[in-house]
Amino acid sequence: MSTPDFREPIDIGLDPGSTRDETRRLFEVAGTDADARARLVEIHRPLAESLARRYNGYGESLDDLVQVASIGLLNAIDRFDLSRGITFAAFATPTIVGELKRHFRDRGWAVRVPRRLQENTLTLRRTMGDLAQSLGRSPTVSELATASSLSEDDVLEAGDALLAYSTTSLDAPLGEEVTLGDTLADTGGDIEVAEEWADLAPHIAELPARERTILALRFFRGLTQTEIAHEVGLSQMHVSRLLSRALDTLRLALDPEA
Amino acid sequence: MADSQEQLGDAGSGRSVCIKVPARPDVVQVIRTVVGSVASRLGFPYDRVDDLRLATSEVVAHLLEEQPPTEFLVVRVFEMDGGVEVVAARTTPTAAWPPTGARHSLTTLILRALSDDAAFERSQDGPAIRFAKRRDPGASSAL
Repeated sequence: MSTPDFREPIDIGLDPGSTRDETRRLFEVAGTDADARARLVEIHRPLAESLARRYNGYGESLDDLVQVASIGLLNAIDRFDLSRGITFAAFATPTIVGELKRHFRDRGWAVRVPRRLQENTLTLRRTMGDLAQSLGRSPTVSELATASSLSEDDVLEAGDALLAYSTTSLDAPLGEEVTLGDTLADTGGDIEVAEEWADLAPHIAELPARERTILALRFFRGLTQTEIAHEVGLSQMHVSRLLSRALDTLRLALDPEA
Repeated sequence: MADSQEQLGDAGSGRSVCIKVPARPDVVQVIRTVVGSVASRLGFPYDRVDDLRLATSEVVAHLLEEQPPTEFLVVRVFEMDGGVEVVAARTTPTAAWPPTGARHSLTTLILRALSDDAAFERSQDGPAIRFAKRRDPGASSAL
């Protein structure tokens, strides 16, 4: 099991032989021929789109990500040197990924977080999703560290740093929204617990719908973060952030001077 | 941080770490990191590490809110057979412990969901909240 290596070119379903030949011819004239440059963009747009999709689901729209990746693609076309003897895809991939990461660094963080930590967090999010899917369970910190080439301390630090990450999609509807009442109806034998939480009901009711749902799934139905992530279609780390934020909100509501 | 120490010795079936930190909200991060490190070293799944860190935040917040203000917090993290136990204490006594309404407090409800065992108790360091979590969901252990 390994995480995707962004340095490796991606198979985008093109005929490698003919495309490589055409790419070579186009690059030979791209410096002075706008049509050749446009054709290069057209040929390699699937590469940019594919890389953009890898970052989809982290709070930025896919359209925006494709735009950002396209800027990276243009930069790569302008800087590509045929004489270096490597394929364009191998050259362009890190350039496009760099552009995408820069976009997240510039747009996604609510507070100032060191660049190294931001990059570790993005790496961790990707690795977490890949590992959880392949293992069918929540990975251990050690497994995450190995797969992401981070130290275990870096993994823990990056997990905490996620709390500083802000995306506009956090409060977006989940689609078919689950209410607290709907969720409570599924708690079955946990009535005693639900009654104890009744004192908090007014404060819970004021939480955003998505946080209410996740709170209910975790505390009333006893689902793990990984199970909740699967149920609501978010990453485990996203669930963790929402849960943490919901508890902070409740704590503040109960003791405004805290 | 005015004072910190690490002890490795016999506690339960494993080792223990003890830290003493000033009672300020910003030390929550330090304590979360210590608890998370111990749990990750024991091979906890990431989401259970996260549960422990959330529980730690809640416990520390509770201890800091109690009156009178305490000067220090002492947190002991024990490696147990198949899990972790955390005992977080105030060094300054309180009038009553457990505090009034503790049974139905947000802290109790959160700990009930996020840990496998939890209690308000008086520890060697002062009024404390203890909670424990197994590494593997559903496994039986000495916790």
